[in-house]
Amino acid sequence: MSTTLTLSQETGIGAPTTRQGIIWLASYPKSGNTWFRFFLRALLNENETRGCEMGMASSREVFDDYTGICSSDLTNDEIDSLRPGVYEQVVADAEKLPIFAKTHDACTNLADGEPMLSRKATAGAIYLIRNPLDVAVSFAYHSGHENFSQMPQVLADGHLCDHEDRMVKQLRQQMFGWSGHVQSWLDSDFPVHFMRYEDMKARPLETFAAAVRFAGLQCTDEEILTALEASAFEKLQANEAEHGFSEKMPRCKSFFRKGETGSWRESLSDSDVERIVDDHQEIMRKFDYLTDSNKIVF
Amino acid sequence: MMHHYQLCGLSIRSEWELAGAIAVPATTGSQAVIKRGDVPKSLPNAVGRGGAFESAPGRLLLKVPNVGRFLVRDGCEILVAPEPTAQASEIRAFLMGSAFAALLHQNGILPLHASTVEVDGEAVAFVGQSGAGKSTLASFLGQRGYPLLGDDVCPIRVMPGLGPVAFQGFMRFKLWENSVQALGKDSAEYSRVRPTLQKYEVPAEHRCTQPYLPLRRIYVLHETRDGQTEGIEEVKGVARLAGLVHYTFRSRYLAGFGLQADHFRMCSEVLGPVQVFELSRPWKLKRTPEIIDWLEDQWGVSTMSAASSAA
Repeated sequence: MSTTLTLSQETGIGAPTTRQGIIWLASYPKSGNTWFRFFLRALLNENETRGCEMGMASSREVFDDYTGICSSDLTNDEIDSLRPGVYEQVVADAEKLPIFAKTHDACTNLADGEPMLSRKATAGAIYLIRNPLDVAVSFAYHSGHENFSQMPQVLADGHLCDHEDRMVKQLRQQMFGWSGHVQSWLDSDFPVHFMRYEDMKARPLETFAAAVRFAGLQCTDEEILTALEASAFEKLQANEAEHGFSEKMPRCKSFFRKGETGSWRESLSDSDVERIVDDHQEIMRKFDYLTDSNKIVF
Repeated sequence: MMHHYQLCGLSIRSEWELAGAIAVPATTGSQAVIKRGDVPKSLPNAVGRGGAFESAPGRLLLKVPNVGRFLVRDGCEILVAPEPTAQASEIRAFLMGSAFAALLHQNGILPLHASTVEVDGEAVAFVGQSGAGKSTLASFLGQRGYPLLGDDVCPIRVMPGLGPVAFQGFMRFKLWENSVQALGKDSAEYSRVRPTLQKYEVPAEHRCTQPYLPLRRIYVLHETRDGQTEGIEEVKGVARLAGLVHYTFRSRYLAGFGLQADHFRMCSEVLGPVQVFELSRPWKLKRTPEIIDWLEDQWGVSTMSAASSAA
C-alpha cells in the first residue's frame, strides 16, 4: 500500500482523539460510501453512545427543516450560502457526537472564502476513492444504462442534481469531475482520511480499522469484524432484493450490483479507457491506480 | 394600497397582493396585517434557531438571501423588510409559505404541509415533503374537476360541533416546468415564482367556494421503488399521530414559540374523525392519472360526477 493512502491529511484544526462535530463520509458516487455507512451503522448500533448518522448532506428535506424556508424557492447559490448554517444547527441540536454524514459534494468554499460544509460544524472527513474506470462502469449501471461511451464525459462533468425545470430530492452538488472532486478534498483545510475502495475489499480489517481510528471511535478488532460481517456485500445485495433500497435510481436494476474491482476490463472500450486515463492520470497516479510507466493497477 | 383577504381562517390586510387568496371587502378590523416595517437582523432573546430563522415566544424572524427579512409577531402581524432588488412575486413566495406558517402556529391553527382538494363537500389533504408531488397531484385532480382548497399549506382547526376543518388556503399552484408541461399547459402564460427559477404561479382551474370544509381524509404520499407494493393502505394506531406531527409545516419554529405541547395536543384532537392513508406510488408524472383512478375508486366517485358537481 502506498504511503500516500495511509496518511491522514491533518492540516487545519488538527486531529483530536474524539471528534466533536460532523465527520463527512465524502466520495464521488459509486465509490463504496454506502457500504462504509452500513458498516458504520452496524458498529454504532453495537454502542449507540459512540455517535450517530445524519443522512445525506445534500438532502433537501434536512435543508428545509433546519433553515425553516423552502429550498425550492431559492437559487442554487442561495442554497449553498445557507448550507453552513444547516450543519452548525445540526451539531448544536445533536444528542450524540460525532455525526457521520454522507456527501457527494466537492469540498468548496463560498464567496466569503469559508467552506460550504462549515468549518465550525466539521470535525473531519473520511474520503472514499475508487479506480475511476470501475466508477465509470458502476455509475452507468446506477444511472440505468450500459452506454459506457458516455461515461468519460460524465466523469469530466461538474454537477449532480442541477436541474432547471424540475425539483429533485437532493440539492445541487458541485463535483468538478472525478479528479476535481478528489483534488478539492486534497486541498481542503479539514482533517481528511483517504481510503481506497480496493483496500476496503482486499484488506478490510486493516482499512476499516484505520478509518475508525481516524474518527476517534474506540472499538476492538472483534467489534470491527462483527460490523464487517453484518455489512458484507452479499448481505446488502440480499437485503436489497428483499426490501429494495431507497438510494437506488429508478431505472437502475439494483444498487448493490457487483462491487468488484477491475470489472471495467469487460465493459469499457479501449478509447473510453484511454480518455478516462488521460483526463485523470494525475490523481490516478497519486493514488496508485496508475504506475509511473502508465500501467493500470486493478 | 392595502388588500383585504379571508385566508387560512384569518382576516388579513396586506400591502402585497396575495395570489390565490379570496379578496373580501375592506373592513376596519383584521386579525393580521402584512406590511413593510423595520425588521431586526436578529432576535434579542431567540430560543430556537435554524439556518435562516430565529424564534422566540410570539416572534419569528426569517432571513431570506436576496429577498428580505420577515418578522412574524404575536399572530397578528408580518413585517417585511425587502431587499432593494426583490420583486413582489419573490416576497410573496416566502410570505405565503414559511411566514404564514409561523402566523398560523401563533394563532393556534395547525399548518399541515399538504395540498388539499374538495371531494363531495369534504376536504382531502395530500401530505408529503417538498418534492413528494403534492402540488402536481392536486393540479391533476383539478383537471378532473376537483376544486382546490389550498396548495402546499393546509390550515386546520378543530371547530365545536364540526370537528377538524380545513380552511381555504392559497388557491394557486406553484409548479415546475416539467409539471406545467405534463398538464398540457404553456408556462409562458404564467409568472415565475423567482425570475431565475423555472417555477410558476399557476391559477387553480376550480377553487373551493366554501371558507372551510370538514377534514376527513389525509393521504401521506410515499414514493415506491421497484418491487415495493403500490396502492392505498390505511394507517392505524400511533403512526397516524406520528404522521401528523411529522408533516406539520415548519414545526421547527415551535420550540422557540414555546408551543410544542400545544402542537402535540392539537394533532391528537385533529385526528379524532380523520382517516389517514399511505398512498404508495412511483413518482412518475405519466402515471398520475392512474393514481387518481385509485383514489376515485376509493372515494366511490367517477370522473364525470366529480366534474359535474364542481361545475
